[in-house]
Amino acid sequence: MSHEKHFPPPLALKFFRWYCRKDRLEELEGDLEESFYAMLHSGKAPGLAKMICWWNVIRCFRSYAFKRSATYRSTNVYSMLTNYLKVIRRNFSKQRAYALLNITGLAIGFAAFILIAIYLHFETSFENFHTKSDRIYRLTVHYTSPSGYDTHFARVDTDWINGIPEEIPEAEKLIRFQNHEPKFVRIGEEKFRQDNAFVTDKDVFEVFNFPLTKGDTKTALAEPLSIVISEAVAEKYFANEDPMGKEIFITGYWSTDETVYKVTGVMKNLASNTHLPVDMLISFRNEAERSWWAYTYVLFQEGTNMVSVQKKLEAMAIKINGDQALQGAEFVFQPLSDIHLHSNLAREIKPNGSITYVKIFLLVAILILALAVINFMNLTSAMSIARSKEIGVRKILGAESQQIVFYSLTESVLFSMAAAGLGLILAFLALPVFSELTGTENLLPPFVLVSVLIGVTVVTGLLGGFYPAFVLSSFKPVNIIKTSKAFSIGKKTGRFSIKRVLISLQFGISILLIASAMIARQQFVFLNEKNLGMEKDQVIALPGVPDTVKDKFKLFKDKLEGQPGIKGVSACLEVPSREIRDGGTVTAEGIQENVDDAPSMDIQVIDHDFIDVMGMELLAGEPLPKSLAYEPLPQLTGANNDVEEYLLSKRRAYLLNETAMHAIGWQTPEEAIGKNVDWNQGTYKLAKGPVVGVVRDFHQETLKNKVDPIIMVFEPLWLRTFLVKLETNDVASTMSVIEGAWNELFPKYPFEYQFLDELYENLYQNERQQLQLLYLLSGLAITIAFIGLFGLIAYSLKTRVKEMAIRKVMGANFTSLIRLIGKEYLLVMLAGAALAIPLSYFWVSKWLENFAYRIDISVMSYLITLAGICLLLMATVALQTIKTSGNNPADTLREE
Amino acid sequence: MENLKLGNFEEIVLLLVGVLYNGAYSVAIVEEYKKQTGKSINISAIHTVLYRLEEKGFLESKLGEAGDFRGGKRKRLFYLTPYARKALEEIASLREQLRSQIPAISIQ
Repeated sequence: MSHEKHFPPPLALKFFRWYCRKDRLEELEGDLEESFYAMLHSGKAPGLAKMICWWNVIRCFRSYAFKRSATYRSTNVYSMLTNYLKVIRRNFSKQRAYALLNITGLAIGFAAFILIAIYLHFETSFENFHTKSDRIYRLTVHYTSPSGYDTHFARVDTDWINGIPEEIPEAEKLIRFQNHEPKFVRIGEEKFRQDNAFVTDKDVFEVFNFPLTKGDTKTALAEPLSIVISEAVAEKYFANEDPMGKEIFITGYWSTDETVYKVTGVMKNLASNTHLPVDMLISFRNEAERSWWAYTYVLFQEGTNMVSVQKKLEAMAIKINGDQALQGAEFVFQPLSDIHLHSNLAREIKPNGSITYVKIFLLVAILILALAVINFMNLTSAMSIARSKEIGVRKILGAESQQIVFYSLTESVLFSMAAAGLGLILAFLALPVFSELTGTENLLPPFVLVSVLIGVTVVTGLLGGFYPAFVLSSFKPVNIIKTSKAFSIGKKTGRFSIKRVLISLQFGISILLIASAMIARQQFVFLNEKNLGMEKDQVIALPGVPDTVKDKFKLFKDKLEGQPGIKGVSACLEVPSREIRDGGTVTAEGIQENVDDAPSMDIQVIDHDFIDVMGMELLAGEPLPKSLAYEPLPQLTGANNDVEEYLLSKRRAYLLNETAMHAIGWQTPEEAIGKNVDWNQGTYKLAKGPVVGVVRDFHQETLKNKVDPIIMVFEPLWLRTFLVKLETNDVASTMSVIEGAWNELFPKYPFEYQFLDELYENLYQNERQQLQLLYLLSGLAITIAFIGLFGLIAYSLKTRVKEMAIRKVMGANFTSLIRLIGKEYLLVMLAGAALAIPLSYFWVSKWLENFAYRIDISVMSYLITLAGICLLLMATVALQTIKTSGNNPADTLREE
Repeated sequence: MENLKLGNFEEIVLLLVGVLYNGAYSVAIVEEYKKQTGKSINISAIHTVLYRLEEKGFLESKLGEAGDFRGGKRKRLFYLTPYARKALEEIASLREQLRSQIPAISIQ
């Protein structure tokens, strides 16, 4: 007994006792202990002996030692399961209508969930296909000036950044995408306008995954005048011919010269989940071309610390340009994968998504699924009450609670699986419409979808079956057999019974979604119908005209003016609906004379017909004088400051908008008329000239932004958009007149135009998509909720047939019956509304904060929603009551 | 013979139970096995076989006394059944019969 100070590890023995069957525990535990002491006796170290004892406990985890479980003892699991399935099938056919209602509700919920999952996956999958996306960063620049100029550009215009790979050791490659303006392409006799075309570096394929189906990534863009096109473009240009080695003629944006390029590669079409859509890549001709504005991407080594890179970049800027370099300019690296959801800068390549919407729709998906699951729980538990007798008999025959629960869960999981199947079918039927609505491509790998769905299905089935399972298994058999139980959500069930809470939650979710959708719709209508301070209807815009076209604008204008159906022709710098990004400071005689303190304003370049053509309102003064006429454009090279001299030498007159007037400090428009102002941006300076008019504020940009101060001036050099105001019922023939004039004057350029009202509508494309999605989802929500409610009320009345009959015998009429049933549900609904309305108010006001111009949230929207739901509820109750109370009470009461 | 279905290891455990007469319980069998064959074996393997042999009717068992070092727990003692004796005899005689027929030359 010398070793008695050491004992077998207690935890091991505890574990052993836990799993070991009772009748063998004594002998087996004794064996384990004896072998332990035997080991100590034979001189083994106590620690080692303990370990071996643990090992033995684990080794003994075998069938001879296992507890014999209760189910194991019940003779035949398999035949019970077949019995369950048989009874479930019989029950299903007995209550087919309710069962189908139940499955349909859940299926719609699943379908909505699947669709939103596809949408969310798409939104979060941007740039995933670039294998190095976690190491690629976009270089952006944020310009600010003390006078209030503040713009963060998605692209960069300084040339010293080309040295980043040499100066910053972590940077491996720098890729420029520049000359992003549309290309005017000629293939043989055919003309095209090509967007998404960039001039770029030859190493682009090493950084981005642009797979080539033809050509070699190493050499495709190595030679000057090489071009790589996407498969879609190849088909457009060359149909079925092999594009390799073909010639493409591109007319310069700034001159009429044509350059010929050779196709050296064909690229796979890119999926739409990228912020950088590419259809054409052109090689640089020489190093000097790598200059001016470019979307710039840098590939870093793995594990690069971006904070230190940022510091090195600043040091590099100062080293190259001196201390003044970074004044007012901040260079920011953006991770590639963050661009789509987190970046909304000036001059993005295409409009990006927003993380807010991703979050909103994730929430909505969860809400809808919750709605469907609640429904499922309610209907399943309601339906199971009718089967309490069956359960009672099962219990009397010896079924244990566990078995009843298992039986119930089997049933609900089966239902939920059927619903998932149906939901999958519904979702895929709806997918084409849904994709169009949201601009989403289904990129979700099916196996992920299916495995997520299986998970959700099982969880839903378990959740849905859980409550009824435990309600049923807890019934006392004697009570069940003796009485038939009625289903009601009245007071007797307790004020906060699960049933009532679930139903009010359902109402709450429906009200939340519907009221929010209604208010969002009001805001959307407001966006489209608000008076913009100009007339956008029947105006066509020809944006982004090249210099060579601009030169002949006067000819174009003269040709069109006076033609039938054409009310006026004008031109401007930035097409209305697009933000003006050219700002400068405005000094005003006698009030703001110092350039450094003067307010910063956007400049819109216009001609004297602009105010008329756009239907803007002059608060005072007149449009620009006709004496500022078109002259042939000067040939400026940029050398010897000739541009600056030219700009300063011209006679000027200015228009201001109201905001600009206030920004300078004038109180009334009359005050401003005749005062001299000028405009300065860096070395560019426009000559002083009088303010000839003040225009009522107009919305140049989306209503998300406040109206900026705008100064308007005539400068033919800076016109970039032609505008034609139509006044005709026969748009088609007028358009052909305009096209004729265009083709005659500018045969090298394709005639491309947009309607201004469409451009304005496009500003809210994202909002429209989201709104439509919200419509769809709130429609689904209300459908699910009322499918559930319908079933529930029907069921509850069915179990209360006798009660209704007795009430009728005692003299209750139809209305009092409706009141009886309706009141219960109405109270529950109001409780849900009390929860939903504040939530919706909070949610919607947050959303409305995105808009500088917005509606007030009206109480009416909530009242209408409530009234509508009340009406639906009452209609449902009335319908069901008619069905029940139509019977002769004698028939109902006679049979027992 | 074919009804007996006795595996090689089972046969050895049966023999050991016979050898340890009146003292045959799992820990003792583990020790005896090691002594006789020189190989060690885990106690759970012995348990498995003992309980299986009991189910098959080769062994019968009763609870004995609580020995030393067992924390006061009784041990289960196993005894050969007449059926097991018959099986062991049959196996042994079959082996002997076969051995005797081997021509001397082939095992030289």
